[in-house]
Amino acid sequence: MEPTPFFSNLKCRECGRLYPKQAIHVCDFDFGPLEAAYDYAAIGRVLNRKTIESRPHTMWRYRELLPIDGEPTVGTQVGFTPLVKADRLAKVLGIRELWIKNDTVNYPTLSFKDRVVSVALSRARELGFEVVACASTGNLANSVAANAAAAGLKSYVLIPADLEQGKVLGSLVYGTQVIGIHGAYDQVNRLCSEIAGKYGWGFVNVNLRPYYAEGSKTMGFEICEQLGWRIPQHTIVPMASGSLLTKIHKAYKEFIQLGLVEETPFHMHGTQATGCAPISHAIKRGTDIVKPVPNPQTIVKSLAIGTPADGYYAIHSMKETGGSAEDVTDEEVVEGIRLLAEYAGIFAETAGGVTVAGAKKLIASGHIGANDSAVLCITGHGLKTQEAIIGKVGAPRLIAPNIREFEEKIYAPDAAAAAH
Amino acid sequence: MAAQETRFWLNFPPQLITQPLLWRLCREFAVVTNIRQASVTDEVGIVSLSLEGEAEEIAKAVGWLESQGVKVDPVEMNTIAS
Repeated sequence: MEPTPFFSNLKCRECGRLYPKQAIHVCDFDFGPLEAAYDYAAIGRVLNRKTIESRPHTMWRYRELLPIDGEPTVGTQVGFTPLVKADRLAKVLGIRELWIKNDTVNYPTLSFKDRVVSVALSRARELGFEVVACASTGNLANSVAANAAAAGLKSYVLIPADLEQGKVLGSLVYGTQVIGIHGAYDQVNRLCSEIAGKYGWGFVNVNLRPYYAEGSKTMGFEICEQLGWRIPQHTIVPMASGSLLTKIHKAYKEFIQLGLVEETPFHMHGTQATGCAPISHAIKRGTDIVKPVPNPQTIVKSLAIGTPADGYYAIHSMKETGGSAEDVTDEEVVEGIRLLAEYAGIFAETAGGVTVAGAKKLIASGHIGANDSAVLCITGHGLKTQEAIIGKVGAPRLIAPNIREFEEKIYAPDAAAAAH
Repeated sequence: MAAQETRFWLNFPPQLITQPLLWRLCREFAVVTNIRQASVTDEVGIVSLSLEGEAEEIAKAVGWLESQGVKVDPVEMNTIAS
């Protein structure tokens, strides 16, 4: 197939130098991260609301704005998850209008990572990689393993050796090669970067990172389209590296540039767990210097990145849009998970609890207006982090198998409680 | 053994910002240092640094920097994702 002209180059986010569309991720000049650049004039000539609406309900309906040359070959069913209006939760959080972007039901591995992985692996195929890999503690590993299996690519997943068995199973089941590495987080990181540099593997979050990261934009595109082609006033995003927040921001800007949405004021807000909140703390200190957190201490493992690679850019996205950041304790995370489940019927992993609890604080503090409208980005399913809430959401009430006991122990006390 | 080039981000905590650590690094290890970007505030010093030399010598130099209290990350610093 003839390459499409829309995705033009890789470009350094620091100095703007252009690079060819290869498996590279760092600028040779200043070590700045590379990201995909596009020919927006060419895209504008072919892409409009009608065209997009005529396409299948997957994230690939925005394919001109994704960094591949041909048609997608991996994860073709990913995305277009529900945007749910959550009136009951809105009331509890104290805001006029609230929407949930529900990536807990993203296909196939129940997290937003399927978006980034389908782009990275589609590009990996175009670049001729036969082996794909990632270094991950959970969601990313599951997604690489599943999508690679479906596509017939050989995959390696590198993990810290002491990772919980439950998380490892979610990758092993797909037949991927799971490699446990003895050592501290930093040592594992270093080895992975060396492996990526030495062998001809497509490492989705190393040498394929510029492609991988762009997949996150589709969450922003979908939010706009599902809101009736408009940008939400407030978007609240959980932050690990900070990449997702910057990419949703980029998505909104691209839609404005292409005339797909009207340019209305919008604010990007980020949330973290207090036990690992380098980006939130920088925002609160009023600086763009991110101080690393050497030993993250939180139940929110999926956000526990002490040295966030995109922290600087996330801070600038929040500042540029008049947004803010907040961090929440582990107790508040559990409360956030419960609120989302009890008032919106959505069971999210711990990162979702961070988003809900963070939004609650931002509304209470006035950073998000009570009369405004907001979208919460919920990125992964609660079944993946059940251990975080075991013993914290109550237990079944046990009775003998007869109606008398049901009436005495359940019905009567519940009726009495309801009467009060 | 052949020389190689390795790229790092260095993070200096406040108490080390005024110390001439990279000068000492050059004197004590057989590595070529090349600063490509730097940002220094009262709170933190961030330097992007390329080290060229034999792998063993680079590892020793990195180990020494870490022993002094500098955080040293490969440019792919958050390779591990959730």
